[in-house]
Amino acid sequence: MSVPRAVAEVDTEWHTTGRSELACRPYSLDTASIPRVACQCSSTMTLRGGLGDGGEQILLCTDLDDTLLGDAEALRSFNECWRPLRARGCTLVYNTGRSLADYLAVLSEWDLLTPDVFVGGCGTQMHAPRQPSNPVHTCRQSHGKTLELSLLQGSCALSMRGRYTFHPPPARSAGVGGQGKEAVAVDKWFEIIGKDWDKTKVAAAVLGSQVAHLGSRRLHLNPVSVAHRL
Amino acid sequence: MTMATHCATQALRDLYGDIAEKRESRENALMFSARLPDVGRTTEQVRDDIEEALTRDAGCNAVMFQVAVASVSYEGSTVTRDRTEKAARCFFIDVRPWIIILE
Repeated sequence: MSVPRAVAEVDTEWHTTGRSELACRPYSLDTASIPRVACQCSSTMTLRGGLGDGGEQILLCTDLDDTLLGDAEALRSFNECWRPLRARGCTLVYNTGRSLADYLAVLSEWDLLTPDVFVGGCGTQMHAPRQPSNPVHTCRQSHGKTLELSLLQGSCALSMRGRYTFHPPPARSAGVGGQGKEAVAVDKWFEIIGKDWDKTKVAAAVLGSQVAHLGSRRLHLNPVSVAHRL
Repeated sequence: MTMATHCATQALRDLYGDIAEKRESRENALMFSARLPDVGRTTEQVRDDIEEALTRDAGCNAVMFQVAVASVSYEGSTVTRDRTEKAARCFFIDVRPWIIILE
């Protein structure tokens, strides 16, 4: 499989900047399920740069709630648009805050296409539903290159760059956390993450005494090893 | 750091009051997500509050995590547009480790 020529992100804030050869009709939110909704949002999903005639492959990365989900007719329109693109090898990625379990639950209500890659839990879960066995591993194989999952700028970035592509955390000019976020060597980075990520500590800092019930519940783990087990 | 010290970190709850961990967060060891009431802070102030609680109060290594803050309204866009936006109804925060998957 060749590397996609274009990468698109879809969200309610997404706008086109180029030719629009893949376009869904404007859709509105299904407000019935959300209390106190006072407006109707609409957007047209188009692909930046458009599609040429050469059968280029693209990777479309899209949110779910209030993007693909929310209007059944618009979702049907999107599915019709995407099926021929899938047939020629384009890659569909759902990138959502939903957990995998929440995503699977919503499938009974919405006619979502099965994505090539599902990124859930705000980037902490990654699955390749159309691939059997180890999803992360086979996902890499399917693209012939490392599929990199990195948590950057509050979103998950999927890239087809070579191995050991490393993005240092964004520098911040002010703030307590920002002062310590200079670029760190990759090896040092893994050492820090593996040693210091402790959800119990994070939960305790945010929830204060509320977290006492956690007791001996062990939430410390190495995220890298967990990611490989998904 | 002992659990007793963890429990002593009340700074955020003193500032925001009732903070609720989101259900899906409880099932995910790689993510801590919570809902914060609107107390007149901006998204950037919320981020600073969280990072200060994690680093200064709880002694977490600042380079291990990332804090994402979203203003949630259900009255239009649910996407934070800039760092000075105040919550229309509440904030959702996500604290996650930085991870990179390599071959």
